This record gives sequence, structure tokens and C-alpha cells, in this order.
Amino acid sequence: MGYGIYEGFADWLLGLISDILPGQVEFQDSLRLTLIDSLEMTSILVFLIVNTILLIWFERKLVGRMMNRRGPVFIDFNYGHFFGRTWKFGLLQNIAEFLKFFSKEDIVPEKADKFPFNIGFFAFVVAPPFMLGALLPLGATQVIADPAVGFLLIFALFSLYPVGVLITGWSSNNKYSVLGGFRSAAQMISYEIPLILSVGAVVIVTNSFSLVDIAYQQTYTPAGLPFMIFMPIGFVVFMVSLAAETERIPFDIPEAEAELVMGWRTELTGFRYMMSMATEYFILLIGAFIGVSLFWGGAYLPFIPASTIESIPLLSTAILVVKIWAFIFIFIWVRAALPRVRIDQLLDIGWKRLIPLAFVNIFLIIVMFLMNPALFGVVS
Amino acid sequence: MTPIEEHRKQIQEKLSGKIDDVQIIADSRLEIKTSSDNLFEVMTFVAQDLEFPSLEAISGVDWETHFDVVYHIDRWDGDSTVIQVRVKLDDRDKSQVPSITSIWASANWHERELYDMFGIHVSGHPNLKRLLLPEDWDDYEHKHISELYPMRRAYTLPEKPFSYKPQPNKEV
Amino acid sequence: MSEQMYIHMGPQHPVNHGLWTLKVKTEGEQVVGSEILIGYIFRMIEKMAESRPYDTFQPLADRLCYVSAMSWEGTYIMAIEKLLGMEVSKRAQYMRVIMLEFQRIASHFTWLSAYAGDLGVLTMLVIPYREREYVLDLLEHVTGSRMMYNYFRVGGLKHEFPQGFVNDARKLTYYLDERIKEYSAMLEDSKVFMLRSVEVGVLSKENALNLGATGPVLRASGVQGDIRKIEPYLVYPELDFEVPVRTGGDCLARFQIRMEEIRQSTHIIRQALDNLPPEGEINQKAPRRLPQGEVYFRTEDPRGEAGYYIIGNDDKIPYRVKIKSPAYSNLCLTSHLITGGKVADIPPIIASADLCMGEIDR
Repeated sequence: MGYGIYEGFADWLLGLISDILPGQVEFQDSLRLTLIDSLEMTSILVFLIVNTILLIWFERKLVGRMMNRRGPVFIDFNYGHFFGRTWKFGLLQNIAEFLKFFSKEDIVPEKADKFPFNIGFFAFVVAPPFMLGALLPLGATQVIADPAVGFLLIFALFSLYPVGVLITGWSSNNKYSVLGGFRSAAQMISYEIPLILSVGAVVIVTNSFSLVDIAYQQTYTPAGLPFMIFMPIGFVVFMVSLAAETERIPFDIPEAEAELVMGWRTELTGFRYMMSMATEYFILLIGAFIGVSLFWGGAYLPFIPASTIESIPLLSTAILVVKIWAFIFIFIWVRAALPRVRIDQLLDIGWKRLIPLAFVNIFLIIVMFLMNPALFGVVS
Repeated sequence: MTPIEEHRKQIQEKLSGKIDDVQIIADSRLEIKTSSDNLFEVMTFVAQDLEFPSLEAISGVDWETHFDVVYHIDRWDGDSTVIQVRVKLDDRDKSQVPSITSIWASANWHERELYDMFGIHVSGHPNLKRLLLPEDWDDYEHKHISELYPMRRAYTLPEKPFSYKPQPNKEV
Repeated sequence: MSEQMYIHMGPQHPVNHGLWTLKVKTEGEQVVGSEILIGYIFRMIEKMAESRPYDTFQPLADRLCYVSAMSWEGTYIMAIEKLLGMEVSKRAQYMRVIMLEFQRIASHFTWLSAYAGDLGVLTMLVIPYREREYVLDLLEHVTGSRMMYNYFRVGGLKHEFPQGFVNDARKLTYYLDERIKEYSAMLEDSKVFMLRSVEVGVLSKENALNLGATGPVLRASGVQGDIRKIEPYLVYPELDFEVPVRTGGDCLARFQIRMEEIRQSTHIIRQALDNLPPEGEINQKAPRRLPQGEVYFRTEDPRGEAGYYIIGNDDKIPYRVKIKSPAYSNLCLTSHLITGGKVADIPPIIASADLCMGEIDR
């Protein structure tokens, strides 16, 4: 890990402490590492939460425009009145709604199974995505933990989510919740397979599970083009599976409001409901992190040398953020355009279309890799 | 001969004795008068031999002295004839018509409504219970027996708006 | 999960646009039985019609269905005229046709947005309302009200069209034609939409007739059932239009029929605007009393065949008014359609029947 802004900030802080408390020098190395880690953790958490809130705003605004509406408008700072209109974007709408949700009564249904209803929801639905924060690279090099299993760990934590959904749906003692919970579990379990298979090809060519390494290897491809260009089938399979994993239209079957009211979250109220909705966007954000790192070259751009990007502070983070939002834009666009499919059709698509496609993709990539490894940035 | 006259002729030939009267009452409106005993046979004939596939409506009419039940039946394929079958029910207390759901499945709700609104019993109906009024309407406090069946002429609107008091929770 | 479970959808549930209950017996995702409970907004509107002078019932006829108020009041007025033996002038008839067809378009747009919304295309839930609003603006310009028009009169209409109406209406029809193309492209070219609509809720021709389907539901099953052709009223025989018929009997066929009907309606309106006679008495005097006699009059409502069975008894109060509602028949048969299907198919099937609880409960 190079000398980045965290290290700089930690050194400045430690210098300040050693000025005030001379003679504590022997603690400084461990203290410095701890400080750097906690700075990183705080920044990624703040980054994720701020982005989640902005993402919800972005989606509402964008979908509003696509639907010939305006989306949130009023609750915002006053930017003044010029060019013939009042400039307000409703940026604070979500903050206001979060406050509203927190001030609402927290209702646990009388006949609900209290223990799983409380524990299952928070332990399996809300907690795992927050744990994932540590594994996400916040730029070219800024990552807290980069374990050898890399994004496999992310997928493992993802797969806790349907368990929580099923527990919440089952324990809330509501028929819509039960059906929604079962649908959710069936959907997530069957779509994890194409999701992991679609990234299998990436793992084969990079020989790594680390998001940082995979993103970095895409700078060695011809002209630094991202993997999406070379494995379009894998990318499409990944996108479709991710849409199913994040329960977004056209795969928002577990909360198909037309027949199941609100699906597994029918009985959630107040901040529980807010947390469940926020978690969904949180997961989408993390999915976008993975997708951008695996297929869109992460924090790097084609035609620009990696060293140039790494040398300018925060440039890699900015690139990553722009890519993530562009990635999420696709999902929002799809949401505005498509109906939702039926559960049996969804399972058909998963098992009969996506899994074979993912295998075809792996086969093609292996053939291409054997013929020309330089295509995937491997210098032999 | 126009289609409606053909229908009339056929009915007169085949159903003589079963019907009291058949006549053209307006443009493309053919009225059959019959009794509730012969209703089912008349309806079977209309549905199967005359090929009138669709039942439109069943209306009750309260003539204070007796009830009329009026069935409107039509065919869609370009023939605008609507057959109007009129059944006169003289006995107001034990008025009863046979169910025709076996001929036209769409009669189901119309017959339930007939029972609901007029108290005309439909014998042989698969599921004869209240349709528009609450299912436990009979258990409510009623000033007069006529209030059970609001479309009867004797029914007067209550002075105060009727408040719905649901029964204590029944296990579903 | 092979256990059987009852799910109550309603009285307040997104699937039923209005107050009614659908009791579904499910086995996992499979529907094995269903029962429909109605009557939540029963207002005894037939009794009301039988307890007031015939001309004062007309505003209540508007309230039968908030989506197609014009056609309900129109049907009532035309039934009364038929009972009275009145003939209205050609100009009034053309004006009525224009109003009724605009109402049909507005109603079909409402249906389109409900159907698309139930399938999850929220964009198409919102956008048809924009076009509907243009139509309602036009109707408001004429009648003074967005929904409850009270515009027809026994013997004609309340008043003349306002200035510039003919031009506005013609412009609007061309605009709507363009829009319909866009909607068809957005929905029918979408593979997911087809997955959800094709072969869903199939109603065969025999079943459609036996279960009493009317309107677009009947025509989607291959029956040429349009009262405007079978038993023409107003000036429909003078106008050139087609009745769309499909043989699929599924949700897609119903969708296509309604889209085609909007096109035909704009076509009818343009012809009616061209042929509109410049002169003519549009509000004749009507007799005070209904004569002895009875009439069963039916028209083609946006939902199907709307009928009034009116008995006059030489009095200004009708002796009996029976309302034949198309949505009533179509709701009755949805119970048959959803049984044996998937739980997720319930919303498109129910939406494709185009229900309006106001006229079902009456």
C-alpha cells in the first residue's frame, strides 16, 4: 500500500500527539496502523451511507424524469432564484424521510414470533452488508482488508441475506410475508449460481479473488480496455443475476406489490422498514462496486497509465464513484422500462438460460485465454 | 322473415303448452311469458336450440301483488334479438324460481342478487347467499320483515343512516 | 409447501382497484380456488332511481362509474328517450358520439395505466394519465367537470360545444394517435411484457359466452360482440369504424383490443367532427311523465355492454330501474380465470378485466 491520504493524515495527527506528549515514541508504529485502519473504516462507512442516500435520491429523481414527473423537489437548501426558476433538487428529501421513519412507532405484530422477528432481521438482513464495507476498495489502493478469498467473502455474506428475509417473513406471521420470504429465498439461491459462474471467467484469467488485483490487471489489457469488452456474455449474465440478487425490477418478485402488498417486509414498520429498504440499496451499491471492479476496470481508465491515475490523490476514487453511478444508472433505466417477471419464469431464466450462458462464457474465455493470454493482461 | 320472427315461430311450435305467451314487444325484443315450473325447459330450449349463448341480466320486479322475474338473453353474432323471459310469481311468501346456472354459468351472481334484493328463493343454486348485503344481514335488528330485502317496494329507507356493526370475530 | 393456505386480497389491497375481496386458496404459488366477495360500497342506486323523478337520477348515474361517467349517464338518458319515444336531432347525436368516444379513450387510458402498473411497469402507470388528463381537460372545457359531467339531457344535451372545441378535439385525436404508437412500442416490443401477458388468463370462446363476458373481454375471445354494430344507436351506422377482434383470449388479446379501440375511437371522433351538422335543436322539451311500458336499452360502454331495464308506470318516477353492468359480469368470471393459475398471474388477469367497483356494487 502506498503513501496515501490516510497515511498523511495519520502522520500529521501522530506528529501533533508527539508534540504534546514527548516520550511516547515506542507506541507510534502500532498506533499509526490502528489510526490508519480506523480512518479507512470511517471513510468507507461514511462513503457508503452518503452514497446510499444519494443513490436513493438519484433513483427517485431519474425515475421521476423518465415517468414524466419531477421526483422530490421541495426539501432542499435554497440555492436562489436565477435563470428564471428556483433551483431546488430535493436533495434533503431522503434525510427528512429517514427522520420521519425514525420517529415512527416501531410495531411488532402481536402474533409475530418476537425473537426471530427482531434478531433475524437485524442479524441477517441489516448487518452483513455493513460488514462488507471493509472489503471494498475506495479507489486504486485504498482498501482496509484485502483477503485472499476477496469477493468470494462478499458473496458469502450476500447469501446470508435470504436467510434473514426468510426468517423475517416467516416470523412476522403474515401470509404475504411468508410467500414473499419463500420467493426471495428461491430467487436468491438460484441466482447465486449464475452470479458466481459469471465471475468465474474473470477469476480464471486473473488468478485472483481480490477486487484490487482484478481491477489492476485490466490496465495491462490491450489499450487498458476493461474486461467487459472481452467477455460480454459474462457481463450480461452478471448484470441480470445482480438485478435478481438485489431484487430490483424486473426481478422484484419478493415484494411484487400488486399481489403481495410489500412481500416479506409487509409487517415491518418505522425504522425497520427504512433499514430494509436502505439495505437493498446498500447491496446494490456493493454489487456495483463488484461489477465495476470486475468488468469496468475499477478505478482505472483505458488509455491512461495506471501510475498517472495513482499519482493524483483522490482521482482514482473519483473515477470509481463515477463508474459506480453509471453502473447503477443502468439498473434504474431498466427499472423504468420493464415489467416484472413471474417467479416460475424467473427460475426458468436463471436455470435454463443464465447458467448455460455462464458456462459458454467460461468455455469461450478459456479458449481465448489459451490462444492469447495478453488479451487479458497476462504477460507470459 | 326476420330472425326475430323466426325465433318466435320456432318457440311457438316447439314450446306450445310450456309458455303462456310469446310476442315481439319492440324492435328486436321478444318476450316469452312462462311459469316458474316450465322455466328451466324454456331456458334450455332458448340456450340450446335457439343458440342464445349469453345471459345478460336477471331483474326482479315487485308489483306489490306479485313478483316478476325477467331474464334477458342475447346472442352476439350479428343478430340483435334479445329474448326477454318473464316469470310471474304469484305467491309472494314462497316465491321460488329454478336456478339456471347449469345453463349459463353467469347466472350465478345474478341469481344471488335476486335472492339478496327480493328474497326470491332460487332452488338448486350452488351457493345461494347474500351477495351485496353483508352475509349476516338477517341477524341484524330489523323493524319489519321487508327490510331484509331492500329492493321490495315495501322497503323504506331508514331514518338514520344504517351503521354496520360487524359480528364478533369469527374464525375464518 | 404443499399445505393449502387462504390468502385474503382485499378489501384494501393493491390488486383490487376498488373495494372488494378476493379470497384465494393457494398451494404454494398455485391458485386452487377462489371466491369473490363484493358489496362494500353498495349504495342501492337502483332504489334511488326508483324513488325520484326520472330526470333527477342522471347525476347519480354519473356516479355509477367514475371512469366512464359519460357513458353511464348517456345510456340512462338514451334508455329514457327510447321509453318516451323521443328522437333527438342529428347534431345532438353527433355531439353525443364525440363525447362518448372521448370518454371511451379516457377510460381505456385509465385501464392501460392500471394494467401496466399491476405488471410492474411503473412508467406506464404514470404516463397514460398524462394523456387522459388532456382528454379530461377537453371534457371539462365542454361540461365544466372533470369526472361527473351531467351533460346529457333527455332530448339532447345541456348546452353547445364551446368555441374552438372542434379544432381542439381534432388536434387531440392526432396527438393521441401518436401516443398510442409509443405505448405499443414500449409494451408490445418488451419481451418481459409478452411473457407476462401471452397465454395468461386464457378465456375460450365458449366460456366467454357462457360466463357472460362482455366488451373487450368478449371480443378478445373471438366474438364480434359490439353493440355499436349489432344494435346501433345514435349515428354509429353512419360512421366508418371497425370492431377489433382477437382470438387469443389471453391478457395480451385484451390489451391489443383496447389499444386498437382507442385508435378506432379517434377515427370515429374525426369523422363525427367532420360530419357534425352546423344547425340543429340540441335540447328539446321532454314530457314530465314516463309512459306505461318498459324498455331494455343497451350501449357499448368502455367495459362492455351497459344496459338499463326501465319500467315506466305513467308517473314521473320510474317503477323499476335495473342496471346491467359489464364489470359485474366480467368480475364474476375472473374467479374462473385465476383458478388453476399462479398467484403472480392474479394482478394481470384482474386488471385485464377492467373493473370499476362503482358499477359492480351499484
